[in-house]
Amino acid sequence: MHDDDDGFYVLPPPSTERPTLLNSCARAATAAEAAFRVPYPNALRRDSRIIALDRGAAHQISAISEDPWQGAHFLILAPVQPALAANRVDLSDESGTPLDCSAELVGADVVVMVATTDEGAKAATVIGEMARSRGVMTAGIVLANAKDADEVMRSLRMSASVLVMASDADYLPAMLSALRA
Amino acid sequence: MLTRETNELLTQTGADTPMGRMFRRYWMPALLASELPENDSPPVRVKLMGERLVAFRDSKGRYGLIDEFCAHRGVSLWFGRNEEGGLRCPYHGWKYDHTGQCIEVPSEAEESGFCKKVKLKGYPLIKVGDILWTHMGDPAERPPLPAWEFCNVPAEQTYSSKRWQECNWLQAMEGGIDSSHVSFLHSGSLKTDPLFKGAKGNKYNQMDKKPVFEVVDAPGGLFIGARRNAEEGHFYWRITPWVMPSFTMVPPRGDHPVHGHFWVPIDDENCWAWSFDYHPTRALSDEERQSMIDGYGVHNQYVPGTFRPLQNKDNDYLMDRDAQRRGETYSGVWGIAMQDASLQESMGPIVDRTKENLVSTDNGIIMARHRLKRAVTALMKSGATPPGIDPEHQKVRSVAAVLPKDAPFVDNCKEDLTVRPGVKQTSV
Repeated sequence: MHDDDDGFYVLPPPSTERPTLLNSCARAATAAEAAFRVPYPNALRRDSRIIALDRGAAHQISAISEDPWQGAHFLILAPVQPALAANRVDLSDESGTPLDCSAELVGADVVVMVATTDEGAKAATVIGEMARSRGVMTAGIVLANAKDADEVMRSLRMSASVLVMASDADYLPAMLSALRA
Repeated sequence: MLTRETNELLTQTGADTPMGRMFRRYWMPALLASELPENDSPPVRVKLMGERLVAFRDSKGRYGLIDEFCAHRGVSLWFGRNEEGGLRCPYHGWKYDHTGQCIEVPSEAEESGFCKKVKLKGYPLIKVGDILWTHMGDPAERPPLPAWEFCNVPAEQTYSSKRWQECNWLQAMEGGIDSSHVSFLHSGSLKTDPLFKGAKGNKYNQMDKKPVFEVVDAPGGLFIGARRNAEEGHFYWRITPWVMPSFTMVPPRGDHPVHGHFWVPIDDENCWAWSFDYHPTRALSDEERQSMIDGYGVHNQYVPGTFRPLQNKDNDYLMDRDAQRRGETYSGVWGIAMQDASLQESMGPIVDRTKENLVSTDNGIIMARHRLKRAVTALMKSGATPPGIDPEHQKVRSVAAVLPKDAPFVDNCKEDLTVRPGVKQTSV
C-alpha cells in the first residue's frame, strides 16, 4: 500500500510474481480441503469451577451437575462467611463437604460465578480477586430468576471479566457446554 | 463448541430446514435498488437461501423476484427480455409478470387460457431506503415493513453496499458481535481510516486492550457491551446491538456515520455481507460518501462489474506483509471489511464448531447461538414468532458512552439504544 496525492491508501496491483499456490488460502478454504484438516485434538481438558453464590443459584447448578461435564467442578458458597474479612471464602460441594475457595482454585482455568441475588457480592469480590491474582479468567452469570437483576449485575461488575444476564435457565448449561466445561 | 447437530441446525437455511423457515419469516435485503435502476432495466440473477431467482423492474416500475427458470424448458430468465409489463423468455416467448404469473404463451391460442395455469414462484420485492427487500415466507405471516433506522432516514443521510462473502452466514455474522477482535485485527484502521479516525473514543481503545464484556438480553436479540477504562471513576462503553437473525451495528466513533451489517445467506457456503453507514441527523458529506465508495470503513473495493471484493481468496486478499511489518495493518490485509472476511473465509465454507475452543469473552457469540436455537426450536414446535420481526425490535442504535463505573449500561443508555428521530447518535 502507498499514499496517493490525497493521502488515501491505494491497494497494490495483484502480484504476478507470486502466483497463488495450491495449498494457499484460496484452495484451503474449500469444503473439499476442509477434509484434510488434521484430526487430532487441539486442546487439553479445561478445569472449570462453577460457584453458586446463593441458594437460587445452587438450585440451578444442582439441576445440571450430574450431566457429563469434562472438567467442571460445581461448588456452593457457604451461607455464613466468618473469615471473609481475612479474604478467606468458604465453599462446599453439593454433598455439603466444607471446602476452602483458595485451595479449590488451584489448577482452575476459569471460574464461573452464578447468582440470582446480590447476597454473595462480597464473597464474589474476594473470589474475583483471588482468580485475578492467579491469572484465572472469571465470568459472572446472573440467572433469569434474579429478583433485581440490575442490582445483581452491579454487585458482580467488578468481580468478573465477563458478565452475562441470562434470560432463561437453559443458558447456563449451554454456556458451560460451549466453553467445554 | 457446538455439537455437529446444532451447528447444522443453525447454519443450514434451505427452504425445508428449520433455520431456513425462520429466515423466511423476516424481510431480508435482496438487492441494492441501484441494481434495477429504471423501468425495463436488465434483469438480475439473485440467489438467496439456496433459491435461484431473477429480479426485474417492469414497465410500470413494479419490482418482481421470481424463480429464475422458465416453466417451459428450464431456460434461465436472466436471458429474458424485460418489456411491456413482463419478463419474456427468449427461447419460445413465454412471458411472466412481476408476481411470476405467466401472462403469454405464444404457441397456444390466447383463448385457451393455458398461460393462467403456469405460475413461477414469486416473492414480493419492495424498496425501503436504497435497498430492495424480500419476504420469502408464507404471505399470511408477512411482517410489517422494515423499520431499521438506516433505511428510513432521508436518502442523503445513508449509504449501503453489499459484498459476496465466501462462507456460511453464521460465521460472518458472529464476527459482527465479536467485539474482542477489534483491538487486534482492526487496530491499524482506528488510526488511519477516514471513517474511524479522530474520535476521542479511539484513545480509550488504544489505552486499554483488555475490554471487559457484559451481555444482556434485548427484546429483539442482545446488547453486547464492551467496557474499557476511561477517566478516573469512569468506563468507556461500546455497545453493539444484535437483532435476530442477522443484523448487527457497530458502536459509533465521534460524529462519524454509524455503521452496521446484515448477513444474508446466499446458500449454506456463501452469504451477502450488507454494510451500511448513516447519520441520524445530517447528510453524509461528499468526502464521507466518497470514502465509502472507495472501500473505507466497513465497505470494500470490488472486482469491476461484480460484487466480489477486489481482495479475495484467489489473490490471497492482496496480502501485504510489508504494511503489516510497518504496523499499518495488523493482519497484512487492507480494510476493515476484508480483514474480517479474509479470516472468516479461511475458516472454511462452514466452520466446524465441534473443534473450536471458546473462552468466556466469547459469551456474546455463545448467547446469540443460544437465542437462535431457542427461537428456531420454538418456531418449529409451536410456530412462535421469532424476535426481531416486531418493528419495535428493529428501532435500535449502537452506543459509545463514558459512564460512571457503577452504572449499568443498559439502564443508563436505555434511550440512547433506541431510535429517536431527530436526535443524533450517542457517541464519544
